[in-house]
Amino acid sequence: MDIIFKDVNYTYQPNTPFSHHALKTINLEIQSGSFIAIVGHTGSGKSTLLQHLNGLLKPTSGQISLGNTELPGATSKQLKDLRQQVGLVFQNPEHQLFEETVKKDLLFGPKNFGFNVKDVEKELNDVMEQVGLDHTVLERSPFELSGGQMRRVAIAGMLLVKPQVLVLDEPTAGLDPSGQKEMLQMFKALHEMKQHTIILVTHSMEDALNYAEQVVVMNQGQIECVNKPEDLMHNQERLRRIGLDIPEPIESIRYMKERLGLEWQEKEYTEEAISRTLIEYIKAGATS
Amino acid sequence: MNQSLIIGQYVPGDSIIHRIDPRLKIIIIFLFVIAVFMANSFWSYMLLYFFVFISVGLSQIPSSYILKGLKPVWWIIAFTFLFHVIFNSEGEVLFDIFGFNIYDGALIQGINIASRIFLLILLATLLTLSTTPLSVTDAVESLLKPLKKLRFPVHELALMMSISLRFIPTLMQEMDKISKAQAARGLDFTQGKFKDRFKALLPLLIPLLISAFKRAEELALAMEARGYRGDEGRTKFRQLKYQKLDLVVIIIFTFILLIFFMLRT
Repeated sequence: MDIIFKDVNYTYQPNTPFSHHALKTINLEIQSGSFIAIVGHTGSGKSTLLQHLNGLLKPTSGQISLGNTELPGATSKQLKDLRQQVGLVFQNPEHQLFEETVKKDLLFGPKNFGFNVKDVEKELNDVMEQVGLDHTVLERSPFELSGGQMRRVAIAGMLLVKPQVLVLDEPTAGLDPSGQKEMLQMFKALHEMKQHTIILVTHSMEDALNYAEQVVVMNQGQIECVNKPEDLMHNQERLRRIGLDIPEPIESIRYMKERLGLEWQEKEYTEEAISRTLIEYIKAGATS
Repeated sequence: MNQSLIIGQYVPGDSIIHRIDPRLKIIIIFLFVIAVFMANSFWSYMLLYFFVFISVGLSQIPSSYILKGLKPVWWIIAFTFLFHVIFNSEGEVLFDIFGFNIYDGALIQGINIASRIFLLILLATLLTLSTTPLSVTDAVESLLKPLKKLRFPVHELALMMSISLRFIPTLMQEMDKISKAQAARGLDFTQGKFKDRFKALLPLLIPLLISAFKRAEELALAMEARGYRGDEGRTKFRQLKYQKLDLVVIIIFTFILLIFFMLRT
């Protein structure tokens, strides 16, 4: 499902003293099966943009086409289908849990979208494994779980709805480092195995660099630039100007270039690639 | 979020109305309420309208915004008006519609009552639009101070008031967030039978209540951690002091009240 934003504007509470122009002439194209990261400061319009992806907000002006659905102008039936196809997981999704048991909560979404409950129950164990939860929690109350476990339950609940596009708003906020890595690996696996489109909103430039195929940088309601992660290197000044961090690997590569006169030849910008290059450099230094 | 309800929403500004001492504003509204119910002639009503509209004008809050915010109230006003016109039978018959006799006394009565509700709500709205919730509670606390002698927990009451006012927008935001999150999970509470719609409220209310309780507990802990122990020996950062402007306002308002009593019949 391709997603195309055309001249999209959104204003909160228009015609009041509180009116706030949150999105300004957004033009964006997200191809089916891609992995996109959206980065930007708080208040840059990331969350507003996300809520357009499944029709929770409708553009004040402009057009969005999501597969066969056009916004504005979709019927409520179309909107419901859209919400099944585009799974939106909000920030701190653990706040949305309400059922008596984890199992019931997991089945809430599929039931709403008219899935056959028996079929979904068979998939429960797989999905639990995917998000890294033990199946013993199924019969427990969601409120007894730890924050990280609740987050996993909420994400599992969305996976059971089988969206083609998975939209995640800061899914790793507040998790410990190993939990963060696990969760991002899981999204990457989903992307690679099932060709799901993944749209990830994040503060962390490192995550954007490591996982995404395209990075959308937002600033004050506008799209500042759309880059391949490796091209972020050429935009360092721009990023710094709007107050975003330079991803650490890129920063260290720059340092190596300037100080050591190293030539960067690797394709990926990972810690492994950096250490490989450094090892090469040291070896070369030892022989000469 | 319900965007049409603005009562309780503060609009920042620096107009004369914004700067009047909140205690004085509350006293004026109190006296105004009494006056509204004592008005009994055309000109006395006109004076009250004049007073309210001038206040709205001075506040520099766009009147279109205020009128839009009164939307839910229009229905009550219209209903009261119609109720009076249809069921009251004072005075002489003016004309009849659909078999209902419309009396001139009833028409006047209807307009009077509708005007009273309109004036009261407009001025009360203006108070909350031009005064921060904090100053309102400060003012209430200061005005109720004499009751302390009777061991009435004035400070606690004011604290409760300010906390509840403070958390209305927070809870509304939370509600907005939760309803969006559940809508993303396919919940639909705008369609279906009444029973289904009622059931669809549970996924909103349970998370909302849970987070409200959590918030209350966190707030209590945070207050205790910062050494809060009630009213005893507590000093205020924001001292309320009457200014020159307040004196002017008092004089003008007294003057208006005097004219008002002369205009009554």
